[in-house]
Amino acid sequence: MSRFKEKKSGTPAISTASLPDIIFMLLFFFMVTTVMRETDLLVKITLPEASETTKLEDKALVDYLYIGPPMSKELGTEPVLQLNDQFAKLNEIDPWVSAGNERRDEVLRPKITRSLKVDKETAMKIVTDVKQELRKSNALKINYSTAQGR
Amino acid sequence: MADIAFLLLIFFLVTTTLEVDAGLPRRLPVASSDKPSPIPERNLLQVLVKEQGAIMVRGKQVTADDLPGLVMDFLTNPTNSDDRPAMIALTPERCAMELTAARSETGIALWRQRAVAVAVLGAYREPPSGVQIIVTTANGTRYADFIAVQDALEQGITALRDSVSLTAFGKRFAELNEVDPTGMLRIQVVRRAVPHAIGEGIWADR
Repeated sequence: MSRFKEKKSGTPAISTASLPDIIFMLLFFFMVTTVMRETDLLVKITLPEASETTKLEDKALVDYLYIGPPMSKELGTEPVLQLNDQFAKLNEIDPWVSAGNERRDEVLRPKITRSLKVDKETAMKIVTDVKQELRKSNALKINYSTAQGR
Repeated sequence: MADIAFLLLIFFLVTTTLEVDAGLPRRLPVASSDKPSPIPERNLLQVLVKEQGAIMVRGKQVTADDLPGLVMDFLTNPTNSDDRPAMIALTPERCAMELTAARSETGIALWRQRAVAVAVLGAYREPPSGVQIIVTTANGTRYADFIAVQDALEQGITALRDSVSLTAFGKRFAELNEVDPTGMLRIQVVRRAVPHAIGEGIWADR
């Protein structure tokens, strides 16, 4: 009954032949899943859910406005507006819109969408004020950013 | 080992999706110093979202589930009621007649489009231009409630477009193919029959 060889004592060495495979796998995985974030969020945003959404096709023609309570607790819980990388006041929307226009060719300017990323618990007052400012700056194409759901 | 690695790679390639921004697109009204020309009351569906999320449509309280039905009722006016838009009934004969009678360039262009729509859909009813569904909010309304209402209105329009598209072409509106010319024409025609009439009503509250 010696069909099964007796095991040798001591632990066998782990083969390292497949290590490059594993490393490549990880590399590819992270390469594929990483989303480049252009701005650092200073406000906490949980998007509301909606079912009948439209995708924003051309990312190059979208500018984002963020509204939500500040990340750091010292700044209170009142919702604030963030443009680019910093907090902004309502009167800074107009220069921000012009800056966004300047970056693009004249032909494309009417096609720029301003996408509002707003925390779902925000009171509408600031949203209405922001929309009013956008309207004054003639940035009429807007988008209420939502999460896919329901 | 290489097989497994490939399998995994392909699995993750297929299952991971890059985040694409999606949302509800809207168009703000142009800011101008002169007053907007008044829209007849029957052509306007005002939806007010109050602080606690209560929804009022033309002064009556409704729930979010009622909204798609109300939108469909508003944009089709099946009972020819006085408080909903006066629908324009279009038949091939009427289009031909109006097209010969039209004098202005805009009039001719409009009736041409309608003639095309009639040719594709058969006789149909179209809401007049300028019908609007407008959502107003109180200062303290939660954004999530506002979006829920916008979404419900959107559902009404989708349902209506689907029903037009299903009766005419046997396909839902979203399934119409925008690449080939007939598909594109169908999409345009359905959009004509059921316009995306959700406006931004911020001028209304100041």
